[in-house]
Amino acid sequence: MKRTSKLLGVSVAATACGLVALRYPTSVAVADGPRQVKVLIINMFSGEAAPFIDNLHLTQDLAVPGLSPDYPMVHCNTDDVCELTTGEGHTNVAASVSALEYSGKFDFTSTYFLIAGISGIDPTQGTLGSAAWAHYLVDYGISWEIDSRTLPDAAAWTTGYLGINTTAPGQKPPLDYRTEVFELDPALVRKAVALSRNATLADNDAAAAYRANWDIAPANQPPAVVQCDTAAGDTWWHGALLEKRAQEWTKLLTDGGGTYCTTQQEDNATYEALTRGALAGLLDIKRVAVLRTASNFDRPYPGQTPYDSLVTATSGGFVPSTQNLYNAGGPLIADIVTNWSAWKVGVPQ
Amino acid sequence: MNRLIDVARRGRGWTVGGILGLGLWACSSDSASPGDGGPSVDGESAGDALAEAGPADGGPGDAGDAADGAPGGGPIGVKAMIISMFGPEGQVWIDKLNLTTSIAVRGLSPDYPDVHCDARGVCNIITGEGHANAAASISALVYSGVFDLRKAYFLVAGIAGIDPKEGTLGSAAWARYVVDYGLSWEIDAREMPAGWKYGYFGINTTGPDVKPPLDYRTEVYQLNEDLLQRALRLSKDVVLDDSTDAMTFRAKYGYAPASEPPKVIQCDTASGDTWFAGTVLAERAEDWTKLLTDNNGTYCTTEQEDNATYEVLKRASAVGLLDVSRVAVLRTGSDFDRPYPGQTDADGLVNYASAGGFDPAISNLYKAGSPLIEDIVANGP
Repeated sequence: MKRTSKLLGVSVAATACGLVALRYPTSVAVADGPRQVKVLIINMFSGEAAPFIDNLHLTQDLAVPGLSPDYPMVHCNTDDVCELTTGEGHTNVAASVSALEYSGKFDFTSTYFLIAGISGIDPTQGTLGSAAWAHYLVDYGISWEIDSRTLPDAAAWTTGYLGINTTAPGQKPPLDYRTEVFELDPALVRKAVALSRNATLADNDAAAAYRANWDIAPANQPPAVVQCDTAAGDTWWHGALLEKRAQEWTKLLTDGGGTYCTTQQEDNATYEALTRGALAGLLDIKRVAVLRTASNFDRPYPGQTPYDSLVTATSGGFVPSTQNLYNAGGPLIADIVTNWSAWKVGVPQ
Repeated sequence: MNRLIDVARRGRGWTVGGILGLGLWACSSDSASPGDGGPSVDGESAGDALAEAGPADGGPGDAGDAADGAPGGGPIGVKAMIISMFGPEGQVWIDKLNLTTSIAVRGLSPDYPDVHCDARGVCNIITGEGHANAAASISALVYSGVFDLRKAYFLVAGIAGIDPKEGTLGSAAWARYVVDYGLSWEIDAREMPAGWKYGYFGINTTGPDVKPPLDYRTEVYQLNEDLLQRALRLSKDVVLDDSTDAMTFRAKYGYAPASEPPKVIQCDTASGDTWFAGTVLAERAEDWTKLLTDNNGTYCTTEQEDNATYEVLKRASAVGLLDVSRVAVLRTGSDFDRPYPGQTDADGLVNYASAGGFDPAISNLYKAGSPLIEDIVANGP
């Protein structure tokens, strides 16, 4: 999810230029069968991909039919770490991940998948640059909605969103779509958190100044690695009222087990496409980790309007959030590569 | 879009018990099911497999004989692929067209693991609902290598909510434009800027009237006009199904076409995972459709999948697996997208099942869509 508004064009353009100058593509032979992959990093746009491509020297390019025309190549290195950029929103991620897994060009049967993207964050759970490992993936968008000014009953209806085929917010819907909520392997989540807990996260003066507008922690503290959950929706909402719905919806769909903290546009669709691949025997769905770093807050600071927070403010969080995808995700990748004999069997205890 | 609690649930139970139990498994014994996933399972990509097969040489002539097509090893030729989103939408085609050959395709929804075909090259896939399911299932289909889709026409056919100013329960609307409602920014209407009609506006814009940059590439599509006109011409005089419940319900609107019997119409469709209802959010669909189509489109149906479906078909078209100019989108009205005069938004939404539109909407998918299917089979390219 591009959480940058005004900053985005500058940052991405600069990154893209850097990539063109630095990368030395090499062709990859596939005559010997599908390419083995230890780790597949899944990013949604170029700003998220660049830290991985640069730091992990992902200089082998492999074209895969059906990927986004913006990102037609998968990038790999000699450690069998590869990276896919999908494009944004539920449609693009499901289309790109599916095209990759059915391409036959890769062997993903032992692969660990790291979904790594930027997001909005709940200021009660993190701050700009925070890196959040998810245990639950909740779809915010698969819902009914009426305009919040027409709510029939203020006690039962605090939001215009409610579960499909329910009669009011607060009722857990039947999970007929099968994509409403997913739980990741707790062992992998724990390992990812443990490996990254002491990682040095990027920060900057602009983000520090912006977060000082908050009078609560952790919003006004430096970024840290945290474990809390993520909500996906094509509609990029903003503000305290829709944030409250994310908090309550996450609790509802996880039977109280999850805690919402990051908002983005893709992860349930990515996970569904991987679920389908797992059912087809192409991969192991227990080997999926989800890391979201915060490029912005999901609601305004005290005294700021939701509009200003979403549209006009520049929080400074974009650059540290993209850097922290690698800073927090890199230790997991390195451990998998270094200790592959153990990871190949399963998450080491 | 699953638009009826009671009927849809009954439909699903019936689908599993009746069709899977009697039809599908019975067919499987003599079906063309590749079982193991077909040609793609050996690691060769569908793109490579079909590219190496060279251009299609026969079109419909050798695209037929679906039931006999697979065991020999080559992809099954398809003339028409009907895309449904849930059980009852698919079942009407399976029943009416006798799509008795079941073909398992790896990666489809676990609810709908098989494509159903006849011997003429007409097939049906059921994707599951919402953007994620539609994109995942269509991708699994197009990259499977099980089917040769290069000459195929695609008919996306599903039920929808309908704008009472454009149609009514049972109306069958052919789309020219497919607009994504969901890819937007949203601020709760209770805390949006003063003077706004609703809290939705384009991503990276400053307000609801500003057309956004189309950075996602999936925001809006225009379908092939020649195919649209042919579909309209072939179906315009069809007598559509109606129901007494639907008649009673639509009379409450008090204005046409909502209060009139259903017809075949041309107007456009908006897709979003969030199934909105109510006057204001429906008016946003009207405005948003105008904005994204530069005033050329007219919103009338709301559903949860079509932009996702089209994007996958477009990607596959770009690599030569199919021709995205052969996609038609038909949506029939199972309920209204906004309440009748005097009814609240909430009441209209949570009681949508009482509109009585579900059965005619399902039936009219076939009634309005089948003339095109039959024309393709009889007069293929």
